[in-house]
Amino acid sequence: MQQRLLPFVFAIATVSCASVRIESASGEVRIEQRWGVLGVFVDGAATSHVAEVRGLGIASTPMGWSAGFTRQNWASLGPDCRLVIWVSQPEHLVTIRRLADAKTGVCVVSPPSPEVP
Amino acid sequence: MKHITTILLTLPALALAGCASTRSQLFFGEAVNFGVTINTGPSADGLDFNLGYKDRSIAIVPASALNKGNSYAIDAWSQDTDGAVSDALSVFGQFKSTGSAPANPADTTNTATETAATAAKPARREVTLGRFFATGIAATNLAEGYKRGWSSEKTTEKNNDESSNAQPRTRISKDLTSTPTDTDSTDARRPPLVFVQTNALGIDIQTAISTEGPQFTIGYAGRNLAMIPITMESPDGTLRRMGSKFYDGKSDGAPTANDALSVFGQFAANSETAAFNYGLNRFFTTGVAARRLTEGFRARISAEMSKDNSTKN
Repeated sequence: MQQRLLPFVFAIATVSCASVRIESASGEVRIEQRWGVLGVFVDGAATSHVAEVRGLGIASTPMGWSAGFTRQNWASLGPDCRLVIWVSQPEHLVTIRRLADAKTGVCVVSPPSPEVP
Repeated sequence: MKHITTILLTLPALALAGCASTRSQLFFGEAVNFGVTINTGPSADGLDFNLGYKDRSIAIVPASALNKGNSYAIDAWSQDTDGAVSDALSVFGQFKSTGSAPANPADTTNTATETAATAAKPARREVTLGRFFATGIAATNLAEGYKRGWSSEKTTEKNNDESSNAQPRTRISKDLTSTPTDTDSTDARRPPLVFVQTNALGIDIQTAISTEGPQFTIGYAGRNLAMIPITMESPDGTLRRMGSKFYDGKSDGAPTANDALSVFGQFAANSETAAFNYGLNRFFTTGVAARRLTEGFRARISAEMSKDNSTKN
């Protein structure tokens, strides 16, 4: 009985939930929260994307394929981003944004805001 | 029936595994996985399978490209007071944040108007860089900033400022921008510069070229790996050396120094090096950025050792 149950438990556990936050070089942020199998593919080398992925289940991303829990932060960069800075403290964001505005090729990844769903 | 169930459960996983690979574009990332992890492509340097815990930090930097039948180094040019620099391999990345690091000694000089309480506290930087990743001139600028901070050089407006070179002469990036599709003649997928750090706990199997054969681990395995292309193959089969070229403007355009292998990486900080308060923990850097950073380290180490010697005497 236990042997028959195990594959089903595995199947239910792996088809679970995932949250993906993708930020483009223009500052546009897109957050997706979905159930099921997650597949993230980078489209083209000419654009820059920064992604944050949290998932429990089956996930296929540029960092590889995983079944179980995964937590990923990655940046796929085009010519518009030559320096990427992940800001961990919200109070540093203004200063870093000023630097990014003054220089070309600087991309800033803002910390996840708690009020964003 | 039992076999059919197993096959049905395995098929979607295998289908997904075939889709997951990191293309050889500029890529920087970190991943923590619990469970089953399978990876192929440049980031894994072969096939990589793990059952258990695995964390990975990777950087993939294309260093050369084939465009319309010609091979190009994906390089950047910068001009500063020391001369001009052509560099194909400048990368400066930090995987792990060190938090708020103390400022350098030049910044901690207290003025006479400060109270004793504030003077006792070490100065903090207004902004500290946590995790970051830079390439080309940006990497060089960042390394230059650290160099000046450690060697207490004063910042001048003109030095190595990207805004003064409004359009950095990145030869190939223009072509890549205009021809981003796979069907075009541009093919940037030449062997890239790869930097990988992994920690695995459980069952780990790797068939990497760098390990000269498959590796099987039960338990813990930690790997730090840097693969840096030093030559570029032309369509006719000849090899050209890649790297940095330094021009001082006095030698009729001939480079005064060639550098193909400047790499400076620190996989883990120990207590002795942390004493320098340099604010970098786990990092790697190549090309001109590596050279600039080591110049800063040289100045800082020299100052620290001179101070130690004077206190002993």
